[in-house]
Amino acid sequence: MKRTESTTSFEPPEPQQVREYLDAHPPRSPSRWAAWAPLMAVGFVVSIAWQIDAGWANVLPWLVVLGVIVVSEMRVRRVARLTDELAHAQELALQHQWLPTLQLAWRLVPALSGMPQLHGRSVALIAHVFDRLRCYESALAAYDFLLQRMPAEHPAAVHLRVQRAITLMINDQLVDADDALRRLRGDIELLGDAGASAAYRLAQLVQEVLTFHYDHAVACADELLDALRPLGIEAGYGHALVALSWLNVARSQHGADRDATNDQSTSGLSSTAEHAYAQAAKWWSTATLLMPVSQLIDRFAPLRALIDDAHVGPPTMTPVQAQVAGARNHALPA
Amino acid sequence: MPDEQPRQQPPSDAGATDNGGVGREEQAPPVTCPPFDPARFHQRMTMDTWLIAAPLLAAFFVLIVMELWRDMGQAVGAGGWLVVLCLIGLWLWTVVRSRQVMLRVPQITMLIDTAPSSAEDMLAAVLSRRVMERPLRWSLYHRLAMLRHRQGSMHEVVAIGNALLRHRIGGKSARILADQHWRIRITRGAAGGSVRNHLLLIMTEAHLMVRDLHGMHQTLCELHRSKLSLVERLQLLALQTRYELAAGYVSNVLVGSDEKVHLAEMMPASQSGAMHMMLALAAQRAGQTEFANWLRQRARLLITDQQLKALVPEAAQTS
Repeated sequence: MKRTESTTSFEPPEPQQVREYLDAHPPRSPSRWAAWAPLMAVGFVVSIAWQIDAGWANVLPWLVVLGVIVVSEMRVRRVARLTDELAHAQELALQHQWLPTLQLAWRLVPALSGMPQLHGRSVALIAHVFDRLRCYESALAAYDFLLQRMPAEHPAAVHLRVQRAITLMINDQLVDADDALRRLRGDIELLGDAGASAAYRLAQLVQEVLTFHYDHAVACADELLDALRPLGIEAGYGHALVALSWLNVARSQHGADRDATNDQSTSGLSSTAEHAYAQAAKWWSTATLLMPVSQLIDRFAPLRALIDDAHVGPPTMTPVQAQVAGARNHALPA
Repeated sequence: MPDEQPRQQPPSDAGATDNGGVGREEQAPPVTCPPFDPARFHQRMTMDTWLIAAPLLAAFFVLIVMELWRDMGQAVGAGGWLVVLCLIGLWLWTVVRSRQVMLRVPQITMLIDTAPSSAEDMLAAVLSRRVMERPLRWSLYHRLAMLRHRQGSMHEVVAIGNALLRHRIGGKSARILADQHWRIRITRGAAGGSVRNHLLLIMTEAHLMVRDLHGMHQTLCELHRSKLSLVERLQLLALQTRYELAAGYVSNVLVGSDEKVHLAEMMPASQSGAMHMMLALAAQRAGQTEFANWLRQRARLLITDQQLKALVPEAAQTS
């Protein structure tokens, strides 16, 4: 897969490369031997100094203590530098600077091998960025690497499993995604975390839309506003998917109306179809209130149908909205 | 000097609930930290400095005496070495005891959010120890400030914060790191400062809650002089906006509103909604009705009325 961003060419690693790279640098538990080595060195040198009756032997323990302090300080500085770099990578991801994030997180993986928690964070970041760069197979490879090393019910693992399920669906692996979502249900309820529940609800919406179960998607639409709220701005994806579902409900109703009247030329809408179109327009309006159209389409291509439909269309921007979000609501991706 | 003895806490429903799932704490009687006393804190910090270093200095002194003794032609027996070893052993004992406490710091941090009474129990137990490494005591008091902030004791947060800032561990930008082997270290450097920044942020909020705008202005200035991470900048933005609204600087709130909206989008949902609502309030006061409506519509998608009331009561009243 090859992408071009501004003037730089970027070729993300293939899934096999991702697997090999991560397998080559797995997380390692810190060695207890290394932890006790300084103390053992001090003890050893003190015992030698005790045995030898010479002037230099008195200085030796102090030199070793000094050495231990210097080595320890260097190690702490290294940990501090790596922690800062990982935090910087996370900040870049927060600002949607995917390529610099990927480069930095990728480079950090070998150095973080000895620090399992930080290592896990860097791999999670890599998986997230691959997902956003539409390198779904690579993202799944990174998710799988992480999830194999975590207990399934760990809160972080539950979040990762939801993300993985969404990635599977966008990558057209609907059967695997269905299985993943089914397994998640109990853990989500057990976790009781609003963010995870919202992400799970979004995953269900994606599934309903991609499997053409639009009726299911709109059936609980009223609860969705609250259910998706913990996602923040990204709730816009959910709103847009509901809008798409309403649009498809409206279209099928319109088609059914035409069949019933046996008049293909009629342009009038039944009240049901009209209601569905109005709902589609309402949800599309809230979706685009939260997120730029380009970002919505970039993540879920089927949403393009909402732009092409004359009944819905992009919401008219107020002058203020254009002023604030205008720069970000730029041209749609080709 | 009397030890800071933890107080027995009367049993309460909240404590029982908070202890749920933490088996060890369920059996221990609940205790609380004594009210913060800056004088005692400074005394403890000074004592820690000397008591930790004392065995090493004494060992060094004994070694010099032994060397002088030998130069004078006297035989040095095993007794001298034994004293040196005992002193080094004493030093190692204090260091190992500190490490044991350090191992509990991440757990305390986690409990502050999930089970405050258990966190208080653990803090009371570890803070009562006579000797520990200074940076460790500093970090434990920082956790106490976090706990008090969580419990809403804002005056105590300010008192602890002021005392801690007088002891700048590791220089201006102190930072405590969790290391796999040695668990916690404090490093210096421009890239550090997260603990200090965090302390300043909770102090700023504490000042706001007790309506001390002067104190809040001071901590905000201090934060502006510090090197902040993106997350800290987001927190600063939210606090500064609340300050400007409380002080009536509406035009300041709207300066760079595009950028502020962009930053608000990076915040967690409820904070983002609160930030939108504060900007809406400022826009409304400045007569920018359309902008205010747009912001308010977005805010309603991000935050519930209940959350808004808890986070920014002044914005909730006008929403």
